[in-house]
Amino acid sequence: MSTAEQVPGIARGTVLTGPAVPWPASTVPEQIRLRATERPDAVAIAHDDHDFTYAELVATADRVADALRRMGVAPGDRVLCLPDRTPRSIAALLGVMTAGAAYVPVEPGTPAGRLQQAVAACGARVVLAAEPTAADQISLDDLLAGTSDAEVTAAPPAAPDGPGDAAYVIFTSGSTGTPRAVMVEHGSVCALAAGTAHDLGLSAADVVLGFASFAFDVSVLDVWVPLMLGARVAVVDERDRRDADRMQSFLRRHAVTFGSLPRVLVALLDPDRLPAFTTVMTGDEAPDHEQVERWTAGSVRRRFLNCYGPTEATVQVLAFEAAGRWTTPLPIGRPLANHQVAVVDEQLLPVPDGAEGELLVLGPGLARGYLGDPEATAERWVAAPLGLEGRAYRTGDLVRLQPDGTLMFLGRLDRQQKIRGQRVDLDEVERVAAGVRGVDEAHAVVLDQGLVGLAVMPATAAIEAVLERCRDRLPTAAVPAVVSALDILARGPSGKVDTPALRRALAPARTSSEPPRGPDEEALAPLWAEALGTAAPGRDDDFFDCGGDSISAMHLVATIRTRLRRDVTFEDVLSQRTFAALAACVAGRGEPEAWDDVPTGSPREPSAAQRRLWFVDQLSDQPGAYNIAIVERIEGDLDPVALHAALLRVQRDHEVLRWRFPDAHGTPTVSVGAADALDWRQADAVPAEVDALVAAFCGEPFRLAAGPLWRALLLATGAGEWTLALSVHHAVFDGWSQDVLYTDLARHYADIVQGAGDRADAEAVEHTFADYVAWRSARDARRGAADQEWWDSHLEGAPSMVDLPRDRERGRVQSWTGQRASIALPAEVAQAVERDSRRLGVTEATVLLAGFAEAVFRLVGRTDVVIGTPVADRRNLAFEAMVGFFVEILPLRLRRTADTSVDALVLACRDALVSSAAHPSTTLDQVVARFRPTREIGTSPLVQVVFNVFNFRRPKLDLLGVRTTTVRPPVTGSLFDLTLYVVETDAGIELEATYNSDLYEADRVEVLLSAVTRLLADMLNQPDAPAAAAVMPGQAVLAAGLQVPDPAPLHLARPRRPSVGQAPGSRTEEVVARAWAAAIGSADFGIDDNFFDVGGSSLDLLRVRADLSGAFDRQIAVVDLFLHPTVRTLAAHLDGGQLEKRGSALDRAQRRRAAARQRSTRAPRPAAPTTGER
Amino acid sequence: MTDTKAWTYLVVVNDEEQYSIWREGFPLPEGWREAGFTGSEQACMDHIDTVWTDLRPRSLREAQDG
Repeated sequence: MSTAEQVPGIARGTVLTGPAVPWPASTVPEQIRLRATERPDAVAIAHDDHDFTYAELVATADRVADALRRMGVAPGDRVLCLPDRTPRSIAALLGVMTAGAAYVPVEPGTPAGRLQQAVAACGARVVLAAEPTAADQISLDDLLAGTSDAEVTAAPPAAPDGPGDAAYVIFTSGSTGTPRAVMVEHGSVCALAAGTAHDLGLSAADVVLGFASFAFDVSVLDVWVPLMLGARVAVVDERDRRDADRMQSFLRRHAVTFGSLPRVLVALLDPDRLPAFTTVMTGDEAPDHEQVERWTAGSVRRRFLNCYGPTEATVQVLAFEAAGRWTTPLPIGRPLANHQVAVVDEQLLPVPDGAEGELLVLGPGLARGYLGDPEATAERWVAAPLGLEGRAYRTGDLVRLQPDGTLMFLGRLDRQQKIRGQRVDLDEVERVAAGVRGVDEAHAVVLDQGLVGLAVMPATAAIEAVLERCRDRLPTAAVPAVVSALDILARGPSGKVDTPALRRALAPARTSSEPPRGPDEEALAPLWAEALGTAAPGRDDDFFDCGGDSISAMHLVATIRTRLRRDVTFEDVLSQRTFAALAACVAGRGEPEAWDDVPTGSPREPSAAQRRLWFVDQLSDQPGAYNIAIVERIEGDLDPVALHAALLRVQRDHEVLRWRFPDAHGTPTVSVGAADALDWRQADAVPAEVDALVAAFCGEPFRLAAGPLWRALLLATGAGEWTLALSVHHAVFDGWSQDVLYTDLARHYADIVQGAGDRADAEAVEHTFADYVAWRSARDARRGAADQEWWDSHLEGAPSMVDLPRDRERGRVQSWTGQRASIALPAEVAQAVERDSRRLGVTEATVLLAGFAEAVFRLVGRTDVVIGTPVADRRNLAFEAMVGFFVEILPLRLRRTADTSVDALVLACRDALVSSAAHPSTTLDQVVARFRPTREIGTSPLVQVVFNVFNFRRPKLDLLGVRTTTVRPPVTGSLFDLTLYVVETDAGIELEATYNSDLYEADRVEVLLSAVTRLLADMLNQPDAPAAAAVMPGQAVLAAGLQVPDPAPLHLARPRRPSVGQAPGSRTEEVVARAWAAAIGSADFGIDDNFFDVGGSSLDLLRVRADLSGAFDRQIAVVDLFLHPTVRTLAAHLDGGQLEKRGSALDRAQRRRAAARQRSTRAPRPAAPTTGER
Repeated sequence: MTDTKAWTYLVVVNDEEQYSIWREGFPLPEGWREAGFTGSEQACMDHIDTVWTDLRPRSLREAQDG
């Protein structure tokens, strides 16, 4: 067998053979179609937005195949694909294979130069993109829109010929200077599937993690292998994919059992909280020893595998199951099913066992070769030596066989290197660099930090041009982090470049950048250095220019969260970029919220915000003001019975929709309605009456005590034409909830229509709103004091009111009568906003807020105002997909000086938004109670004007088989004087104002909206100029009107020494004083003291009311308690007032007018409840 | 490592008409035959580049084209 000299006592040429496992002579689509026939309704691809069943997957793939075939794609062709991370894109890749073609996956966002190279290299006739970026790319949407299931069923597409056809082509780094296109056949994937079922026990019962990029070979193991075995693939989207906390949540939410992770992520996840995840693989780089121990300790029986395999052998051919404590390097293990490996020398002769040599791989996983490159194919795929059959692949990897029969990886034979898990060929880097005019020679090395460094000669070479070409032509990992132009390279005695010397010369220099300073930067420095694998950073260092990528950014974010206890996101690293900017951003952030601290099974109690709404509801004579209305027009073959059933499932999963708040002695409690009872109304209607019917439905009040707190109306207006209206009380819903509701409604509806299984919303079922209430009160108790201190100093001295000039006087009691006006932001202004936001690294909403704030400054004649903005308290992942009332109003204090530039104002708005949101444990109510602002009766306290970007993008209801159009719902009320919404529509950005029509005429609001857009346009024209210099057309007209001229500044209310007041005289006064004392917890007040001045709160008033109602045996209106805030005036009112029963709104309105007539001379100063905001 | 550039190779081909190279003087592995070209490693590679125009295995080529 071997002509090499035999050394006695040492075995030569041991061929390691994996277990023999039969595999079907089949194709990927054929295998998946078989699984779809067996279990059509089983979930094939789980995704947070929209799952695909096996039936859906195959049907969609067939439509893609059909469309491609009609475009002339034939078996043996190649289709270049730019997929996104959705089930639809996976179906598209399957569709390409179904058409008999091979898909060629390329990452979206690949530079144009590289994309062109790829198209040319694989000879693709068609480029299919989830989100096209060039005219010659075909949009997946358009492709699917042009087909229907019916056509396809009529002519089922033929499967590819057989296992020898190419399934896909994946690019890898190659030593020829251009990427190599590895062509893999269906039979190889079939063998991998059968082998994985055997070796790792993967079965239809598993949920497999879809994490790898579709442009990498591991995605074949992530996606096709499980689908061929009938398992479920849980596909991670981009947002979750680059955030360790989100990944942890994702893995748990989907109960993932099996998956491959990059080495970095393994270190950032907590295995103890992932008991279902029992088969964990890494393959990009060997995991750290401590990770092996961490993942295999504990009570969960878990397999933790270090896997090995080149793209040229499909995915993996060796694996090593590691456990416990390791001190020596981890081996890459033994051959997996049907594969053979040997260690050979340059002549392909076996080396003695234990000696170093090249790893040779044989087996069904071997790819066909490099597309269009027979020379390289013949070089790597060689006639199998050692008496073995067929071809063998020379991996170019240096290994050694160990005495225990496992293989140890030692490095590369050529100049390929692993950079952050990706194969990078230094020759390729050099060739690309040498292609730049003026570069005579290029030498690439891997620096100590695991980054590519590049030296080019001569010293006059254009470094920028080299970098640009590298960025355009090379994968991100291969783009040099450091480029130097030198006149001479150090060379060793043999004339070879002295690599260590070059490495030292290229070590990222820090001379131009200052070292970190101050405690915030010093705290961040070691984390930054660790994530990048570099020395200490300079203040101006850019994370991504220093070699950072999404994986290292994920690492950085995770360590900032865990070690610095600051709540940052991946987006922060993206937008801040430089070290100093990120350090400042981190310092402004609050504590991250640990999602795993969320309790389960908490007792049901109303949240503080729900209590507040409950209170407002008692006070209000316009109970419909807190209704949230959602209206959709539906065209097509809607199934009303299925829709009703889907709504039932939604309220089953989201318990809070069934909550109601019975009154227990002045305190709200929670009870829960039956899951199968829904206020569902279905009727026929002529189109002309729809608006009126919907308006009446949406304005219909809810009874908080009795419930239900949501209802649905379905109007049939003609053949295949419907209007669906949902009305929900704000106490159990908010703007964010609508998206959650739509997603779940769409999923349940599709399941019911298709007769699929019932898939409950796992997250909603695991935690209820009661758990949020419990978690929230624990958090507020923990950090409330610190947050309160921050708000105290933030708001000290701010004016207590923003009173935009009005057309009418305010009423005695706040009214909630609402109207709406809107204006489209002209395209050029929208573009200016976008440009500005990008330039300053802020959101577009922040730029818009700056424009609005500037308008408000001018209309109130002050450059220090408080504007409210709603935030959803949903940063904890456990509540991200839950229906409920999570919204709080933040009182943003916005200020500028006479010469503040527009840019500076925008940045001030950003700082106010960021820092206010970082102190969420103090509610607006608490702020109001601390400052007790002097205010006009009939307004909401402290915040009268709100800027709302919460619903920036309107959620879309995606009901299977029908077309839906969102209809602007009727206005049910205005909770503030004016709320400015920023809404993104298909046509662009719209500014929409909901305003109190008892205060403002429609004309005034329309002029205001137009003035804001024109002011903004002028501001953005000259961002360096003072904001005060920008022109606001219509300013004079708008500034005229009724207005409180000079609201008092806010000062922390000091506990007031009660006057030595008079003691109660009459029996009624005694009863009232007793009720006060019980509610406040102190009897230290006189009968002329104001309830709120001696420590009473709005909610305390409800206890007083309950006590007095009992004592006097009649219902007492809350509004009366407000209007008579002293013991004396209240007792006088009770003695002389009308003893009518509290009843209809009409009664209450009458009483309100009566109360106004009886008003005492002293203006009451109630710390009235703040209102929520949708 | 040894300088393989000095060695002489044969171009070899198998039943699927897939090409590779084999060092001259060593017994040919089973299933492979000489394709009629001998030379340096690079010369053999250049030869393969001209004769191996369709990377599909013969059986697949015949099925698809047939």
